[in-house]
Amino acid sequence: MTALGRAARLVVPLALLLGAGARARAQTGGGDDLDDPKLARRLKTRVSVPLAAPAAANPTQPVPADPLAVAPSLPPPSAGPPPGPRTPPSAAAEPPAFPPASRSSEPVAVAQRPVKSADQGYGRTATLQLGYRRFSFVRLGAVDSGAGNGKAASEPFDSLSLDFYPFSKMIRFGISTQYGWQSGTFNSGTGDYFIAESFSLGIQRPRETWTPFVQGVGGAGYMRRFQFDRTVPTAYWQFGLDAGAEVALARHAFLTASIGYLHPVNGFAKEQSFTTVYVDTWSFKIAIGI
Amino acid sequence: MVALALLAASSVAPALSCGDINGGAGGFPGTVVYESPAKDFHFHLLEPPWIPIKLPTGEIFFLVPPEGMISITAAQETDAAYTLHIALQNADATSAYQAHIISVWDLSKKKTFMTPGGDTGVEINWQEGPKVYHRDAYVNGSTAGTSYQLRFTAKTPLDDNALIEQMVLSFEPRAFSASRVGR
Repeated sequence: MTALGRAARLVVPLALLLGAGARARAQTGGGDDLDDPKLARRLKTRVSVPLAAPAAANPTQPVPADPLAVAPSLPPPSAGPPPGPRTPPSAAAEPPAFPPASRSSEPVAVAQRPVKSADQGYGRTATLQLGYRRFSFVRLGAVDSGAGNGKAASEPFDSLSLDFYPFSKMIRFGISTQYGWQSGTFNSGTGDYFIAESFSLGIQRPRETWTPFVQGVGGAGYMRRFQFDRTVPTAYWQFGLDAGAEVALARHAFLTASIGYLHPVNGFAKEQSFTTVYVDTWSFKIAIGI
Repeated sequence: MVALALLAASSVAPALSCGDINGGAGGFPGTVVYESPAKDFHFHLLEPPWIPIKLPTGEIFFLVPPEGMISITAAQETDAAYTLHIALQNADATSAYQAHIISVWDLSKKKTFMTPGGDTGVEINWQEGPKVYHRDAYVNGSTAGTSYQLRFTAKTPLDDNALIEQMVLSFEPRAFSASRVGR
């Protein structure tokens, strides 16, 4: 094969690709903007918009696995020896024209294309967070002497949680395991604490560098009250509403901050019956996630 | 779907039970009111862990069983983690306090207080022996020249015990129906 022939075999597919890209930009309003900023951040320039053009231009038509295969100058697969992953048969027989790294990067871009065409929503990855929340409950049996009406003393709680979001698209759903302790008594053995499992469901709107969200939270668990040097087992449940935002820290990490309304309830034995005490309070939460 | 069902359940169940008592309101939330048989006083306590015990003499006192026990008899009073005896004094709070002073009292620890019900009193913390601590509070009675002595005993110091503080401050020398703090 002459050098002119080899050049023609390379130029024709490239021209087709560039032409398709131009059509795609013209049809879609142009630009490399992805619907999902999170995905855009992760993929950066590795996602090639031109490759998505056929799907955008005619979504009812199946997208070929390899756009190079549609080049009319390429022989059908049965006409010759099996080609390499992305290399025309004739090119495979010749000494490599590019370093291996350059050649291998090209298929990666093509492989990412179905991800974009399949995900029209926001976000797609599960996330894991380590969170810290602070809120105020009441200390049963203690009085706020300054209130003058027998109001219970405030009891701030600090809590750590491991939050797993199986999906985080326009809708976000999370499962949270939370351990909270009476502020200032961590690991002292003399304070109140609780362990709770909570679920959250909310909506969010991913943006370029941050993702605002609103979510409802509900869960239940066990609360240990420490009263008069005794452990008093009680029940605990809570529900509330959080509003906040996730801010990207790096390619695979983010920081979350939210404030919200929380309605913790403590159920316990009172004489021979079961009674509950609740408060309506604000809470503050920060988390770091991947 | 399972996860959504669990979420719905966890959201609905608490909504059905948002709680009986608003902890942010007054009236010593979460506590039990004890009113004397003669209805001459009442106060608030957590029951459990406090248990009222009636002696053959008719006196009623209160105790907290030690950790690991859910009940205790009067004969085991020395084993109790906390005890409370209430006794009517035929003198106002200050006079009754002075009448009970003993040499081991550190009088610099004397404190005066006013309850949310507007009743005044005086108290002191002191140590009788190893692992025997007291907190004596004297609250003026509703009748002039009378007061009530609340003697707490515990195996740990009582100075900064917020739960004991609540029991003292909830004490009112009148029937619960006449409470100035309310329910």
